[in-house]
Amino acid sequence: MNQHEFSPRYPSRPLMQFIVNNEGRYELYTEAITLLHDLVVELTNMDGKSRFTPQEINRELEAIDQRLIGAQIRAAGSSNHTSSRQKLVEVRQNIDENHQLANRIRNLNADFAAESVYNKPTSELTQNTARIFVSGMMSLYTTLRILHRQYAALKETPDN
Amino acid sequence: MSRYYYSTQPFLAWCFNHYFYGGVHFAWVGAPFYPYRLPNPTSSSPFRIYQDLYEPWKDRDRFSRTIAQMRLDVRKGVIAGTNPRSLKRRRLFRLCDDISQVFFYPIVYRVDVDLIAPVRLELGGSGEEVGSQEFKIVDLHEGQPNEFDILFADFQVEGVPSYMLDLWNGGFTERQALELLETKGLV
Repeated sequence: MNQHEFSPRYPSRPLMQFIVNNEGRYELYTEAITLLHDLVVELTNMDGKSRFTPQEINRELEAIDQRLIGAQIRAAGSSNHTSSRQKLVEVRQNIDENHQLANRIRNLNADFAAESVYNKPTSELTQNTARIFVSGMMSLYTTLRILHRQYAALKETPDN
Repeated sequence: MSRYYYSTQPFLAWCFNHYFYGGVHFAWVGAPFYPYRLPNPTSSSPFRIYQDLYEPWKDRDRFSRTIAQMRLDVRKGVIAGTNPRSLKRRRLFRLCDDISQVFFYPIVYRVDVDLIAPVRLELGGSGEEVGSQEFKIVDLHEGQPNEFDILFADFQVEGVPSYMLDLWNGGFTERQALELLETKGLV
């Protein structure tokens, strides 16, 4: 196990800019991060409790994906449609990769539970991998929050 | 089984539940307040959560991991309590992201679980796994009778801004509370 294996997949810097430069995209992406954080946080045993069931999270993430597909279709009519559509595809891919990673961590926990004779499913291994993922998600959220605030401040400056 | 269970939450969570979700409060509750030597992990210890939140709140630590965590937790409440694409969701998300740290002052809910129907006490997480004393309650109600007390809301002693005290004392409509949070709380 290495830390990189369980770290969230960060969007590239240009993709982050693309996300924070639009309220709708920022809202959707950070909502996805919030849900993915919830999917794993319980397994850390220290960073908080889950609010939603995995089924609820899958449903919400599917709804977010559908809205991003809708945005892709709408982007087809815009002047810089190729770039926007490509970036929206990357946003969807990024969310999906992180969703798969979160599920992998959950599956690790389930596998351990099946093998455990002590009936203590949250193994040290799972806790460690979950902490790597959850810490990364919080740091991604904080980065986006700061970038979004900077973007909003720039937009409100008269010279811009 | 303990009669009193506790939940440590930031004041912002109380505000959202009180003003924007009809006075219905979500809480993970654990017992006792300081479950030393009991199976409760850190995330199920009201005392540890209080300590982890109070210290960065008092220090105005802008890089606190616990406060970032709490911002995400309050966001989860927004997802649960508002409609997608609604203006309300967008405005509440903005508050979660950008509101001043002063709103993360910790307060403690004390719940007499003998007064809560067993069907509303959901066992989950470490409650199931390691037998820690904790429950999830998704619908704690204010009003008559109040299903919980609030402890440690020592606003005056702590010298919090007067608008926080105004919010605590109530008397605002949902719209007024939202406007107050946006005008005074956003940094």
